[in-house]
Amino acid sequence: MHPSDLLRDLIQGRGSTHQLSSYIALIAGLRRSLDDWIPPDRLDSWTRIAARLGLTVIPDCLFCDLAGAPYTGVVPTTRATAEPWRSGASSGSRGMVHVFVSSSRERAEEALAAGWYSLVVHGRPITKPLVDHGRLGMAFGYPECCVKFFMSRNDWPRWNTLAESFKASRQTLWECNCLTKHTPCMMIYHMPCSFDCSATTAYSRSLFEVIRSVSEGYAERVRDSSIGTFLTVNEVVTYRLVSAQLSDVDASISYRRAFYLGSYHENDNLGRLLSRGDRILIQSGTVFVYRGRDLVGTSDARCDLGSMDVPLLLRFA
Amino acid sequence: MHSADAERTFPSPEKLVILYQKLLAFRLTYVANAFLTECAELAEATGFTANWFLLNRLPRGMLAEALRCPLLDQWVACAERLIQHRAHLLYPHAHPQRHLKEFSEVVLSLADVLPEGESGEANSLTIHRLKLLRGEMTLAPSRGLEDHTLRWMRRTGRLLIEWGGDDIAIPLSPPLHEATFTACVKSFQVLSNPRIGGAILDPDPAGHLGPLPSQRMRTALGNAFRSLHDELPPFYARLFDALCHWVTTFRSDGPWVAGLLQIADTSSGLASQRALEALSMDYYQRWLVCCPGFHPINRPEPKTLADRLCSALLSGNDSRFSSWGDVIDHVASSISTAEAPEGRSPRWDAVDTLVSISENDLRDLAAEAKGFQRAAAAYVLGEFHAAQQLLLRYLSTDHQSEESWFLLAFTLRHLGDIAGFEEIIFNEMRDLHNSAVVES
Repeated sequence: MHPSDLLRDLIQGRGSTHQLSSYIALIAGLRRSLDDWIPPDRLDSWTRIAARLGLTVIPDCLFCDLAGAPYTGVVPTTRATAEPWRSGASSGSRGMVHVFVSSSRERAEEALAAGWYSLVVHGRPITKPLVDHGRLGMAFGYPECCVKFFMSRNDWPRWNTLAESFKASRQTLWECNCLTKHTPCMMIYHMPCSFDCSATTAYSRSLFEVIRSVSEGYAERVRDSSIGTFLTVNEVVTYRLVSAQLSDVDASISYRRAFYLGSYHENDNLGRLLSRGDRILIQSGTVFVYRGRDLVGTSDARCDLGSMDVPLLLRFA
Repeated sequence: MHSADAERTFPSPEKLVILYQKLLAFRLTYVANAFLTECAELAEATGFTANWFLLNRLPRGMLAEALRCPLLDQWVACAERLIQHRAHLLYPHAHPQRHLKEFSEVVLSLADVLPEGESGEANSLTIHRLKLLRGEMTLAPSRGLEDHTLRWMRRTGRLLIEWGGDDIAIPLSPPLHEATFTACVKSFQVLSNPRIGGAILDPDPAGHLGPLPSQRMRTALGNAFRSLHDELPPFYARLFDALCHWVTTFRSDGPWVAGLLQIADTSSGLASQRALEALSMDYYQRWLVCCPGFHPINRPEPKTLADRLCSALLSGNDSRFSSWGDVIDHVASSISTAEAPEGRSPRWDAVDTLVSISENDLRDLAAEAKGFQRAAAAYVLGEFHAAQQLLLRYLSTDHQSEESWFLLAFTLRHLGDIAGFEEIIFNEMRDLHNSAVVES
């Protein structure tokens, strides 16, 4: 297969430009499996295309939007209802089919077994045992150090995983930038244990070479998207700051534009404030947004409302 | 339950207020000690330490007055959550740093009950509003947000404030009239308390101040309640009467029971039914705080509680609500029923603790332990057939163990038996003889 045909198949077959690097890693044997969300009416055709690529697709369940929530067309990791997926139910079904994909059926089933997403059933949230979070991470082929990190830190009311990764970092390498995971130019999907994690860096470098063999231009875009200055508050409130410059006078950062990188635009309140300014200063957990010398607004990050919100400026190089 | 029984079971509004205020004093002391001992440097650098000792100089008898400040209640509640989640230790320079700085605003709002001659600073960068007189009056800068340290002092019966080059002198002796305020605040806009005033009383947006807030509030509350009452259908009207009874009666010795009543939504045009719901929810949440023994199984999260309370209040039969006690009784029984133990999420503590044990120790445990723990060890080791057999055996002796049923479901999932998993999780099948459980 011509390399550019691969990108075309991945995009047209799934109806999405997301997770391309993850699929390339899967086909190259750099990942064991992944999970994805496929429109019901594309599932059969995607399963056939995937088979041609040497991949097995196993449906898990049908995720539908909660009533009233606009569908954004990107990975719906939260706020969805789920229904059992019945084979042949594709016509007329709404929502997205959650699937596990791997180069072998056994590996896909292994991921499916550990891949239960917390769900409210008959009024009670059904979670899975902690050990299954680790099993799922390993089934996806993530580095073991990062899987252990995720198991101990993926608790939003108690930890800010990005801040924890940052604390463990001596430098912030673009190969370990997970903030672009919901964009077409993503590099890694997993949360690295640090932004200079050696296992993640090795994985990314190998993957980057494979992506280059598929498309030099796409590889450049992936790398360029991962380099630069990023503002994060938590995992769903993340921004790329274009033309960011550190001030000589204070610790503020000027920028030309801010791009929201999360998957849910309902979480993009800070983006509206950022669009009115051209400079930010973070102090005492508050993001101060200025236009020139005028303060146009502030955004208070909170640690008491269900997630540990910690504003951070990360500069990946 | 008759209302007489209800009175024996539930504290009266007056007693509840005293309980609540004592509890708030205790909670304030607890969080202050936690900050002073666990993050002493941060407490010092943010001015919290100085402000805490300033607050400790409250004259005798003024503590109860101070505890009515809604800002204090808000501050303590947030501090508790920060401490509970160790945010002050993990991310001290984020929200915790700001929160400790904001304590200076709480102290400023209590400045009128501090002794003459006391002075202090509010060093928060995010002062958008100055809340004064225990939250009854708010000043907003008329020229937008700016970053200035604010200094204040109690002198000759006035509260003197220096902020951004402006000097404000606020006389503290009643009666205080709008003209007096307007004259002394010049470059500031005067707002009445936005939480109650904005939500229910719909004050003049220009912030004109009439008589003292306490007097004005009492009159306006009465008018607002009457106005709301007229809009309500008969059932809601009676319920509303019962809910408002304690608010209006307790108003006799103070402007309003600050800290006991908070309507967080400051948007205009709050519908009457929604105001009623908010009032009810808020009161009941506070009631639960004072009665921690009320629901020993699993105190609901505020949101859950609010939803449930709302549903209980709105689904009742109006003939049952002849008194406030009846209302509380109905809500209490509704919550008790809804929070039965079988309605809880699975608790994986016993399984999750095994994750940190070495594989050798886990194997020893799997060989030596009994019952659920042995099955849990097998599950963590990935020995799913063994886990299934152990769970089936354990369930034959303790059929009610929900944790075992849940672990069995996830075990079946790993054995490739998704149908068995779904039977237990979605259809709540709890039959050991069901083929979905035994055949995999």
